[in-house]
Amino acid sequence: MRDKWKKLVLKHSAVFEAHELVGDSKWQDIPMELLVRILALVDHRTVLVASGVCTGWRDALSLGILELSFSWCGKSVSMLVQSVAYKFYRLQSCNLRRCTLLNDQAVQAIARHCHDLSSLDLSNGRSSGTRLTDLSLVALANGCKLLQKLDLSGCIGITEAGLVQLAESCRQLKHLNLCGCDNAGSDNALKALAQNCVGLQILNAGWCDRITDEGISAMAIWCPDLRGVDLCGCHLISDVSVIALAEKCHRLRYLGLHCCRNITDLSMYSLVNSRNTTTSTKSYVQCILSDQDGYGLVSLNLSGCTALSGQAVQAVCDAFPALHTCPERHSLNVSGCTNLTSVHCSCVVDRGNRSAIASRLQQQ
Amino acid sequence: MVKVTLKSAEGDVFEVDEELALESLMVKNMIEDVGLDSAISLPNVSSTILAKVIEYIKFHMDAQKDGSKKTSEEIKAFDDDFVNVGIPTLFEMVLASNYLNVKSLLSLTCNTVANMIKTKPPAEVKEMFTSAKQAKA
Repeated sequence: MRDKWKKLVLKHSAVFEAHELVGDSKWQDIPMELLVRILALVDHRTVLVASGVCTGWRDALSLGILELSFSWCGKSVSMLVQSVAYKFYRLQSCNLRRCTLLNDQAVQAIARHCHDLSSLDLSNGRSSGTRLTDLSLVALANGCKLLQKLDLSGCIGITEAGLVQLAESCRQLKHLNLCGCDNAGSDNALKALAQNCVGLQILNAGWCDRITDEGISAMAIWCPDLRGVDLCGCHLISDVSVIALAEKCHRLRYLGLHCCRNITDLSMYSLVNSRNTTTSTKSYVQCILSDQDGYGLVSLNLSGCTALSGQAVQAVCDAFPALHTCPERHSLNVSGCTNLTSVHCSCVVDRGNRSAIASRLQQQ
Repeated sequence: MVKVTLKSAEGDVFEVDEELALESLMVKNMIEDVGLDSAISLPNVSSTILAKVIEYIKFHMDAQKDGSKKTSEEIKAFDDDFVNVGIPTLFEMVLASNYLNVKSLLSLTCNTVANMIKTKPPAEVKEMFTSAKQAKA
C-alpha cells in the first residue's frame, strides 16, 4: 500500500518536473474541465473526433464526457460504437435512437465498458426492423446495473427471457419503454419487472398485445410509485387492471388505454373513487408531502374504448380538473368513441355558460 | 482613480485601473482578501498574454460606456481579430481567461477553439492540435 502511494507521488512529481523543463504547457495537457467546456459547444460527432486527437485529450474526455449520442451516425454505427465505447467508460447517458443498423455487438461493447450508464435509448421506428436480440439485454443486465431509463421501443427482436434477466439485474429501473416489443412484453416479463424493479415510475407497454390483467395487476401491487402507464393496443386488458392501478398507484398521472375495448364504466368509477379515497385518507397526505409535482391524472387516453358511457367519463373528467377536452389543452382523448361526444371539460362548459349568459344579456 | 498592480509570470509589472482589474473575478477575490497595497502576482500568466487580456477588457469596457460610438460590428471585428492568433497563443489565452476568471473572454476563446474543431476534418484537427508541440519542441 505504502509503496503504491510512494510510486504515485514520484510519478506525479516527475510530471511536474517535466512541465517545468518544457516551460509553457501544450494543448495536450489542457485541463479536463476546459476541454469539456469547449466540446460542449460542438456536436457529438466532433466530440468523437476530439477524443482521437491525442492521448491527453482522450483521457480528459474519458473522464469528462458523461453523455453521448450516436443518432447522427449512419450505416457504420455498430462499428463506431464498438471502437469507441472503451474511451467513454464514465458515460451516464447514451442515445442510440433510430440507429436501425445497431447490432448486439455494439450494445455488448457499451455494457462491457460503461458501468455507470443510467439512461439508454435504443428505440427504433416501428417500421424498421431492428437487429437487437436478447444478447443485448443480457449484456446490459451484466454490465449496466445502474440503468434507470431504458427505451426499447420497436426492438421487436427481444423476447421475454431477455427482459426477465434484465429485470433481475437492473433493479434501479424507473422508466421503461417496451412499445411494440410484442415478443418481450408478456405477463411473465411484467411480473419479473414488478418483483425486481419496485421503483418503476413510467411503463410504456403499448402494442404488447399478449399482456393481460395478470401482468398489470402484479405491476400495480409491487410498483406503487407508478406515475405513467401506457397500455395502448393491449386489447386483453380489462377493468381488473385499471381498478388495480387506481387502487394501488396513488401517484398515477398518465394513463393510456387507446383501443382497450374491454374497458367499461367500472374502470372510470374506480379512477373517480381513487381520487376520493386518496383525498380522505392518510396516503393522500403522504402523496402531497412527498410529491411536489402534485397528484391526480393529468393525461388520459380513452380513444377507441367504445364500451364506455358518457356519464362515467364525465365523472372522471370532473374528478380530475387537469383533464381537458378543449383543443388548447387536449389531455383527455376520447376520439373514436361515439358515446363520448357529450363529455367536456369545465372550460368548455364555462365558455358555453359565458356565451349563454352573454347572449341572454344581449337579448335583454 | 485607484490603480492595481499586476505582476506577470516573468515579473513584469502592469498598472491598471481598479475598475478594469475587477473584471477578472480571480483578481477581484484577491483584492478583497489582501487589499490593494501589494502587487498581485499572477504566476500562471505570461506578460504577452496578460497584456492581451488587459487590451481585451479595456476595449470592451470602453465599448460598454454610454458615450461609446462603437457598433456591434466593430466589436465583433475586434473580437475576431483578437482571437486570430496561433494555436499555441490561443491555448495560453484559454488557460489565462480560465485562471483569471474573465467569463466573456473565456467563452470567446472556447468558441473559437470549438469552431476550429468543428469545421475541419478529423485528420486536420489532429494535426492542428498536436503539431503545436512538435513545432515548439
